[in-house]
Amino acid sequence: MAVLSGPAAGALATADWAVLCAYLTAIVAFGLWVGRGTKNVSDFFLAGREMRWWAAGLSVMATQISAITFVGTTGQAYTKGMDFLAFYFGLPFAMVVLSLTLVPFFYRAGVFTAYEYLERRFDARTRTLTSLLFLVSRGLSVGVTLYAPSLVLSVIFGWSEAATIAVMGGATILYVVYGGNRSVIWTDVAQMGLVWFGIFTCVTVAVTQLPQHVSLRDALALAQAAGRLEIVSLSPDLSRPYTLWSGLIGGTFLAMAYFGCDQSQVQRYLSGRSLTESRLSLLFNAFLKVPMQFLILLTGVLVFVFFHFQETPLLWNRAELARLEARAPAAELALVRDEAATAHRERAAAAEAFALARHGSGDLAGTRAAYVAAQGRVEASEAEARRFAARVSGKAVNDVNYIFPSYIVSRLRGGLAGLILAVIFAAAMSALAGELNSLATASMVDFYKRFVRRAASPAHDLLVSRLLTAFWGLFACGVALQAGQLGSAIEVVNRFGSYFYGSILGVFGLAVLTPRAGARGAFYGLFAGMGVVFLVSRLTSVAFLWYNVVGALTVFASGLLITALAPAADA
Amino acid sequence: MTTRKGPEAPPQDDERVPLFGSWRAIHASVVVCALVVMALVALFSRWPF
Repeated sequence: MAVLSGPAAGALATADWAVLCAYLTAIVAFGLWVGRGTKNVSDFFLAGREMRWWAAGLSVMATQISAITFVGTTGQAYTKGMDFLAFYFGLPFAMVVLSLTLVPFFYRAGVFTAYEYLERRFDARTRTLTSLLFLVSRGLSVGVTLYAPSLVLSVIFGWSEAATIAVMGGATILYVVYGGNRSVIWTDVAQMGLVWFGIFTCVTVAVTQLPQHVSLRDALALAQAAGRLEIVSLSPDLSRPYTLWSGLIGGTFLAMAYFGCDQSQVQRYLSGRSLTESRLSLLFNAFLKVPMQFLILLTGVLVFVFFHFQETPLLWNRAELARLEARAPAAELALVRDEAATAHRERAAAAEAFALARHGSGDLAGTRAAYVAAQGRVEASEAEARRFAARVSGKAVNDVNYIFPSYIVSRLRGGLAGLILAVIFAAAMSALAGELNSLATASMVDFYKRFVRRAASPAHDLLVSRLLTAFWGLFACGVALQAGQLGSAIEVVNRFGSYFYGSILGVFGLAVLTPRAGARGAFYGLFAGMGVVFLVSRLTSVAFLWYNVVGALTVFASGLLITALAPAADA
Repeated sequence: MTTRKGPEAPPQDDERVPLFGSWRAIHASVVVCALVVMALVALFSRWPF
C-alpha cells in the first residue's frame, strides 16, 4: 500500500475562476444596490440608524474577522495547535460589560463617533487625541489588513501583489464610497453568510478527505498525540501568549477596548434602530465568536492530519520554494529534501500503524510513541528546511499563512476552491469596508466638521464624506503596495495598537464608571497609560494580551490621582 | 478651563428583550454559555479519542 499519495495539482480550474468572478461581481453589485438610498451623512455613517440586531451583529463579526485571521488561524492550528482559541475566551464577558456600560451611553448621546462622547464628558482635546490615535493606528493597519491576504493570494493566483491589492481594494472602495455604512453592513451580512458556509464546508471537506481507514476519531487522536489539541493551559507564566488567564483577563480587556473604543466596531452597533438592537448585536457575537473560531482552528488541525497521508512541499510558499530551487546548491537541497521526504514517509507509516492499533491490531502505547517520535522528526526536518531557505535567501522564512490556501487550491475540486477563496476575499473585504467607513467618519466628524467647515449643506457633507472614504481607500492601497518594502515596520504597526488600546479603554472607564474623574486626569492619564505599557513591553517579557490590562488600570488610577491632585483645573 | 461634568445617569433600556425576556436573563445566559463552551473545549482537548 502506498503510504503517501501523489503531489498536489497547482492551478485553479475554470469553475473556480467562475465562482470567484461571480462572487466579486455579485458583492459589488449588491453593495451598490443597497446603498442607493444614501442621502445624508446620517445615512452614510450610521445607515440611517435603522439596522436590526442580527444585521449589525453580523457586521460587527465581519469587521473583526479578516482574511489573515482565516488563513493565519488555520495555519497556526496546523503548526502549533489550537491554543490560540484562548485569545477569545474573554470576549463574551467583555460584551456583557459593554452592553451594560458604554453602549447605552453612546447610543443615548446620539454620537457618530465614540470619541465625540469624550468631549461631552471631558473636553475637546481628549476627544481630538483619542480620535487621532484611532486614525493613525487604524489608517496604517488597514494597509496591512489589505497587504497580508494580497501577499498570500498573489502567490496562489500567480498574480502580482499590485493586481491582487487593486482587485480587493478597488472592489471594496467602489461600494463603500457610494453607499457608506448601509452598503458596508448589508454586504457584511452577505459576506458573513458566505464565511459561515465556507467554514462548515471546510470542516466537512477536511473530514471526508481523510483516508478511508482513518476515521474522524483516529484523526483527532493523532492530532492529540501531536499536541495539536492542547487548548486550555493553566500555566501562570505571564510571558506565555495564550493561557486560560491571559485569555480570560487580558482577552476581556482587549475585547472591551476593541469593541467598545475602536470606531470601526462602535459604528457598526450605533447603526441599530434602537438601543436594544445595538446591545443585542454585541451579545449575538458573544454567543457565536468562540464556536466560530473553534471550527476554523479545527479545520487547520484536520488539514494537519490530512497532510500526514499526502506529499507536502518543502515550503508552502511556492514563490519562496522556486527561489530556493533556483539559488540553493543542488547537493545541499537534495539532502534537505531527502530528509523531509523520509521523515514524512516514516510519519505516515507510524500514523497508519497507530490508527490500526486503535482498532485492535497492534500495540497501542508502542505505536503511539512511535508516531510521536516520527512527528518530532517531521517538525525537525521542517525547521531545518526553513533554516536552509533562510540561509539561502538571507531572510527569515515564515510560510504558515500559505498552508491553508495551498490546501484549497491543490485539493478542492468542482468550484470548491473558488468558493473558499471567495470566502477569504469576503473576510478581507468585509474588514476593509468597515475600517474605511469608520476612518472617514472620524476624519469627518472629529476633524473636518470641527476645524475646517462647521456649517455646510447636507450635499457638501455627503460629498466630503465620500471623498474621505476614497482617500482612506487609496491610502490603504498605497500602504499595502509599500508594505513589502517596510519589512519589520509591519510588525511595528501591528504592535502599535497594543500600546494604547488598553489606555483608551481606561479613558472610557473614567468617563462612565466614576463621576470623580476630570478632563485633566483623563488627558494626562492617557499618556501615563501609554508610557507604562511601553515600558512593560520594553523591559519585561509579559505577553501582549496583558498590555491592555496594564494600560487600562494605569489610566484609571492615574486619571483619578491627577484629578485629585489638580482639582482646580477641573472644578 | 474645563468643567467637571460626571457621567450622566446610566440610561435605561425599556424595550423588551426578544426570546430572553429581560436583560438580566440574556446577560446571565451569555455568561453561562461562555463558561459551558470553555468547559466543553477543555473536555474536547483532554478527551481520550
